Amino acid sequence: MELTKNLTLGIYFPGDTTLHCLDPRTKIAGTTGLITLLLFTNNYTAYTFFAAFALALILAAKIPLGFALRGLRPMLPFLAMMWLFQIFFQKPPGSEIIFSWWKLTATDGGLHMGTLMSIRVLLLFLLTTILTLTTSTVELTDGTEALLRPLQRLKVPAQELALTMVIALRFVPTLAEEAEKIIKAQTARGVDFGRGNFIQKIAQLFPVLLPLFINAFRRADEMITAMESRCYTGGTGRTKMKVLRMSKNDYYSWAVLLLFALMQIILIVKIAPPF
Amino acid sequence: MPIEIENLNHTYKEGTPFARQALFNISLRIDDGEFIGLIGPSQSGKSTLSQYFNALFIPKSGRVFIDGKDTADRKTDLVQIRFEVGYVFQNPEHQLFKTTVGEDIAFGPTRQKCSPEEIEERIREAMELVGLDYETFFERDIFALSGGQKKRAAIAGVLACRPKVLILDGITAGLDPRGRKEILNVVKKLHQEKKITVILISHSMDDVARLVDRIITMDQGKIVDDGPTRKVLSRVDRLQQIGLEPPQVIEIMQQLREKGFTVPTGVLNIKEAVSEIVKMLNTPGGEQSWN
Repeated sequence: MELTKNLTLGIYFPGDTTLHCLDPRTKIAGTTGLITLLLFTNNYTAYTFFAAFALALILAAKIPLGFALRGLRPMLPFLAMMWLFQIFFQKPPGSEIIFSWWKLTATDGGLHMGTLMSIRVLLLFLLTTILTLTTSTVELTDGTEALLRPLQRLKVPAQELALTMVIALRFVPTLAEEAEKIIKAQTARGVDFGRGNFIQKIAQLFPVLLPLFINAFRRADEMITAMESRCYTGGTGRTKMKVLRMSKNDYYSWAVLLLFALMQIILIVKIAPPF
Repeated sequence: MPIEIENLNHTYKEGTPFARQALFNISLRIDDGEFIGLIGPSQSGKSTLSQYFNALFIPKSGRVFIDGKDTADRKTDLVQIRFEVGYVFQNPEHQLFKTTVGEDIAFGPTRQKCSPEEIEERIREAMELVGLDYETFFERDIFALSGGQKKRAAIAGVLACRPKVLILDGITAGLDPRGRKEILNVVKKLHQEKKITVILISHSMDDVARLVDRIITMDQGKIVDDGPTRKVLSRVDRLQQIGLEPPQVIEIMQQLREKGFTVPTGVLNIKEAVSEIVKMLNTPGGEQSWN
């Protein structure tokens, strides 16, 4: 019973590879760009190249492949559901019926849509994981804040937004650990998690979620006190200990990213979607 | 219900880059009616090991038998084992989730499918055992309780399942001296009156030494020492090696010895220490170095 074992999102994997040392702005903006590109990708060839690119990034960051992929595991049941829905309920024009059963009919167009969507979600998750695995939370805040700074003129609270995001990310593993402890305490009082019918399973959630929420509020309260006692008053006028600077490697990375993006755009335009 | 552990290993986050082995080849036997202190510094593996005692962890390497039943056997009723081996975790807030004390204590017996009358009786008994007055606290809001009262309520919630073995993880942590004394008296009473096997997990010697009959010390995932309280405590150098402070009386005796007085180090409380020192002073030659 280890919830934290399969958790890769929000965990920093320390290292000193080029990818780790890049400017966080490069990594955040690059990931955002790649995700945007991903949303427009709609054929298998482009996706194959995309997967290869993600794989190359993982290898370059010296993250064990099995560890990076393990984080995808909890998504699989959810994806399988979505996949089935797409197969049976999506009927793009011109698609042919593969088989029908009872009132449901599966079309080849739906099958392609479902498969492409699943690949898209998996890659999206993988790209985000690579970002958080190679970037510490401090770098993530600094990067996000720097990228949002131009919006401050439009009265967007960049610093506060960045801080909120980072606190949320930071507490994913903490809350998972706490949930694990609570699950154990309730198991010790005879709750048999994962057994029983649907209603029983829902009922099993209460003894876990209630203490978890209460403790999360308490934690937030304590953090506010800790921040205020260190005179945190918001972002204006704060200086940085580490000033972000683009290095040679950042410019090389942008060159690689742009080349890859160009190739993907050509692939998207030239190759027709399979439905 | 004896607990037997054979060649147990445990690794956290196995198969990930963050893997860390927490237990190394542990073998252990706990018999009925024992009163045990499981002591070690943080990260020594004591909590990990104790979670095998009530089948919260199922062994992947090594074997665990509870009442002769192999916990890794699919046919073993783990829920039943968890009722019989009660586990109270360090933080009562991880356990308490109902609105009132009474409802929370009722949670375990309800899962055991007891009749309403029986549940009522068990709540009464459990609350009385931990020293929470039934009339005052039954309807009390969980969040209105003090730290010590929450711990008692958590212990009562486990006692209501009528366990034969009780594991208490860090029950004195975060309590003031009075609360500490009271809760330890409750534990002592449970062991003496209810004949429950009690396993106290702690990282400090002072609390536990006076109570338990047997001490198991752990460090870095291995058992360092295991034996009767007096014997384990008298090996001061071994305790200090793993960063555990022996109880203060023992330290005084140790220092007396270093100064050349012939006193035994295996004492448990001030009374024993005093009588040993008096004995030493009354024996001819015992006070020779006194100057």
